[in-house]
Amino acid sequence: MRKVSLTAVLLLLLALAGAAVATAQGGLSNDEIDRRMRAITDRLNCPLCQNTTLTECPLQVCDEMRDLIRQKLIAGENEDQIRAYFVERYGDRVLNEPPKQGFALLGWVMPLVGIMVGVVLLGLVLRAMLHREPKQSAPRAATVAATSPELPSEYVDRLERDLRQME
Amino acid sequence: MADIGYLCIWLAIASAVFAIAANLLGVRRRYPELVASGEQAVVAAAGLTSLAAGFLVLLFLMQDYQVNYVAAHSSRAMPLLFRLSALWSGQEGSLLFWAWILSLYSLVVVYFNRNQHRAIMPYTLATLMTVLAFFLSLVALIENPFKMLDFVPQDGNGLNPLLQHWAMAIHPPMLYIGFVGTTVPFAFAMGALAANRTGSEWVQLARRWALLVWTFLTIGIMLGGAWAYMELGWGGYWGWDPVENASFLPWLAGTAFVHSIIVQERRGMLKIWNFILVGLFFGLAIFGTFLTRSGVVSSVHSFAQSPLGPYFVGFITFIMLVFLGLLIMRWEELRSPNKLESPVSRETAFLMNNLVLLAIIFAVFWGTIFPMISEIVVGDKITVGPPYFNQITIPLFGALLVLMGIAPMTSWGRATLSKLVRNLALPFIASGVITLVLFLLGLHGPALIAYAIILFVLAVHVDEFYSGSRVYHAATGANWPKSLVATVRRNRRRYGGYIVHLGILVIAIGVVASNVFQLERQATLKKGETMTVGDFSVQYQDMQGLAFPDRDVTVALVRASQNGRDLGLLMPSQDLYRATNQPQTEVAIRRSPTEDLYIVLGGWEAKGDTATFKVFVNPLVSWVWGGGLVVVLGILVAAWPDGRRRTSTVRIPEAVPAK
Amino acid sequence: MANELPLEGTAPVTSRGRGKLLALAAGVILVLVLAGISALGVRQASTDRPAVGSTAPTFSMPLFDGPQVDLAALRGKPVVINFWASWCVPCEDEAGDLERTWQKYKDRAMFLGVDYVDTEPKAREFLKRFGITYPNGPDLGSRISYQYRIKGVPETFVIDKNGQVRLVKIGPTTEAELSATLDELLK
Repeated sequence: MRKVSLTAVLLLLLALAGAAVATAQGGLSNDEIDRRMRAITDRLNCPLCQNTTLTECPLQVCDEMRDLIRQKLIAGENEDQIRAYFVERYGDRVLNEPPKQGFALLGWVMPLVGIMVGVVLLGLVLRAMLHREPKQSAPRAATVAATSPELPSEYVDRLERDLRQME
Repeated sequence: MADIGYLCIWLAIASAVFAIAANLLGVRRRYPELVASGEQAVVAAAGLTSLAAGFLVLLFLMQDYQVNYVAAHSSRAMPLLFRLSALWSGQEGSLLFWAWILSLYSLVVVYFNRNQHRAIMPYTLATLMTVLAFFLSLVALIENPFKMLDFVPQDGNGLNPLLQHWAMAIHPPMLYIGFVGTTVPFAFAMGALAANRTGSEWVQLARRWALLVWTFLTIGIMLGGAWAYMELGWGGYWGWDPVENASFLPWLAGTAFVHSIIVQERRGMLKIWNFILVGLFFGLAIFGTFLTRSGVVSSVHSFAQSPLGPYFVGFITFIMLVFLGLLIMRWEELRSPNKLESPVSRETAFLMNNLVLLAIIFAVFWGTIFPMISEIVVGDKITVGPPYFNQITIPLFGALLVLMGIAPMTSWGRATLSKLVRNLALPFIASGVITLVLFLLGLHGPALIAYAIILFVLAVHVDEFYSGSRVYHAATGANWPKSLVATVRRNRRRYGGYIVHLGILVIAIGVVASNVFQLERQATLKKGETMTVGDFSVQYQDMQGLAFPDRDVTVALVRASQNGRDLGLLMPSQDLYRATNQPQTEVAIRRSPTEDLYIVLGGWEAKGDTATFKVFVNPLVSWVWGGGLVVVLGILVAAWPDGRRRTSTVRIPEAVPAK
Repeated sequence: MANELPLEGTAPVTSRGRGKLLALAAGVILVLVLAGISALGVRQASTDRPAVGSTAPTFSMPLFDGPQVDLAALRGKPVVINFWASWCVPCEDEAGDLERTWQKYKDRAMFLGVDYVDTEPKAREFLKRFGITYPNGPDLGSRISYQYRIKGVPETFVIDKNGQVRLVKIGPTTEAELSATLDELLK
């Protein structure tokens, strides 16, 4: 009888421990944690290396950082919280793309501005070039099409293009 | 001997300075003899620079460790190849190497133009020698590779193990040949401006040189990617690192230039624009050299901190202002009757191509220098990594590909939209059908869009080759392969260009597949255990240690199979170099046209009882390298000299109006 | 070409002259702006760690156990600033020396340990393992190490009571070295 109760207590303890582990993991399966880890470490850089993500970095401290991320995930933190923690600790350089706020936003905005300025400039140039006074036709204006109207037009286009592009 | 080498550098500087003075004075005051002696001074400068470089190589071969640079970059255990490539593995030597290549370029320029382009040449040579004198002065005054130590070390430090790889032995020279080469078309542009010969003369000169230089840059970038792929062990070949960007930027500018120059050849348009592009080509190359050598941006590849920065800034500013000044001076002469006859013409397509390329250049440039700007303005170092560059440039590359598909179907001068639509209809439908099939086979998302575009461009090019051959076939009755060859032959420049496009498409196919469909797994295996990645199984069998004179190598023996078919033994390994105590992974790659099995030995425990492997399956990576070969083939077809003089030099720059 | 000549009358010429000036201005501005940025970048990159005799950059940092510490508020006492990390092997060599020196001088000087790019659990473990009792804290945002332009860990700076840098030690320091410097400063 005594033996049985001991077993029961042990079993109960075990079950409790299991439940504790399960809640500690936030109900997340190992695969899910791996997946979230990967999503986070892919977007963070090793603070000590250049252009090396936390996923790849072989340094010991990066191993420890990966452990830390895992613990934080198990403790129920989400990606944004973990990223914020890393930025607070190690600075903006751990993000492998500039944050879209503050001064760093300029990093994102400028290329778009550049492209827009380019499009506008090209538009203006094209318009100016189109509305320039037409030039006098050179004597070579006589084209294949004019001399050989019996050829199929597709063929003539081709020939014309070839002729003009010949060295 | 180191002293003689150092002396040679100073003598080369003196020759270069004399060459500048003699060429400029000679041409201004009309003393042909002075110009001739100026040319000889160029030859002398090239000879002396070669001598200096030769002495440094000799010091490496003789293992003279009293020379600081030799001691810092080589060791007794190093094989001959790497002892030679140590020449350009450090700041001092690579600067001398830079100067040496430039001096050889100058020599070639002198040789090929000894009887022609007499008006342009003195200024061209003066420009080349100015750049040479600048680099040689850096070598002589700041980064002297011949500096002696007070003592003679027993052995050298050896070369960074990362650099001890065959691709690293040929990648930097290729890239340098490309980088340095941008000086030549630039020098011709300077010559044309200074001599007021802004017609088609310089265009011919600059175009041919630009193509050559562009080809070297392409090969250099490809080899750099191949090296990163084999040596860095992260499964990729391009990481948007500042140093990679620095090589990519002039490549993009060169691409814009070799396209835009065609518009000037055909239509006499865009004269000023082409000067600007050639300035950009050179400017970006030299700015890239500055970025990677002054320590202003941090990169995996950058050289150690050095005091070169201010000199580079001063020099680039000076030469760009001179260039701008000359351009403004000739502004009126350069104004061309830029008349577009139709908004859907080939000219417009080229202009749009230029716009997109410039947008990419600007975005990559901005992303590369932004960490520096951020540090200056807010004192915060930030990282601009691959996600940034991918997000911004991928749509632009997509647009570039679309243009590459449309442009060949437009005609010069007056074209109409309806004709363009008619021309594009067949390729569009054909590629659309294949895209639909791909979709039904389960491809979707960004990859489907990318492949739809690639297929469309491919169809356009196939159509071009086909209809060209058909004209010949119909006219002569020759069989199809013969007609194809004859068509390409008849217009090598054009079809060579198309072959380059095909190469780019092949690269694009590989890049998309290897990024979108890459598989990756990491696992720790006991001996005999197996892991699977995609179709592949990888069984860890054994571990062996090997001792080489300079390093200890730990090799894992891994048996790979694909769908049960045995692929044999693969041996990923880790080298530990004794001199630096630096571990270096050697990736094991099993290549095939469809996918690479890529195994990295991450670590091991208990003398190899368990080992950790990172296994990638990289689809179509071989296509990237294959595409590179096709690009080079296309250039060869387009630019191989054929003996007879080309007629294009006498083309009338006026438009040929279409019907 | 010939038929274009009449066009070059009044309006087109001025617009051309303007285009040229605009291009000149744009080109020159672009080159100069880039040159300026590059020059500033070069200066930034060549900024070195504060030299002996210069004023030490001030900062405030949180501690692992305790409140915020402000360097400026510590004027009047010599301060030893030690940059370290738990993953740094040479830091283990100097840890004992630092603690012993601290015990000797804790009434007359201040010690600050700045934990560079580290994870907090490992850092606390390190402090416990070497029995370190002087104030330590994380280098938030890696800002302090940036201000001091450290190239690695360990690096140690000794600052006198007026906030002037008096010792810069790259690599592990020793009890003898620190004592000698502090004795000099406390004279």
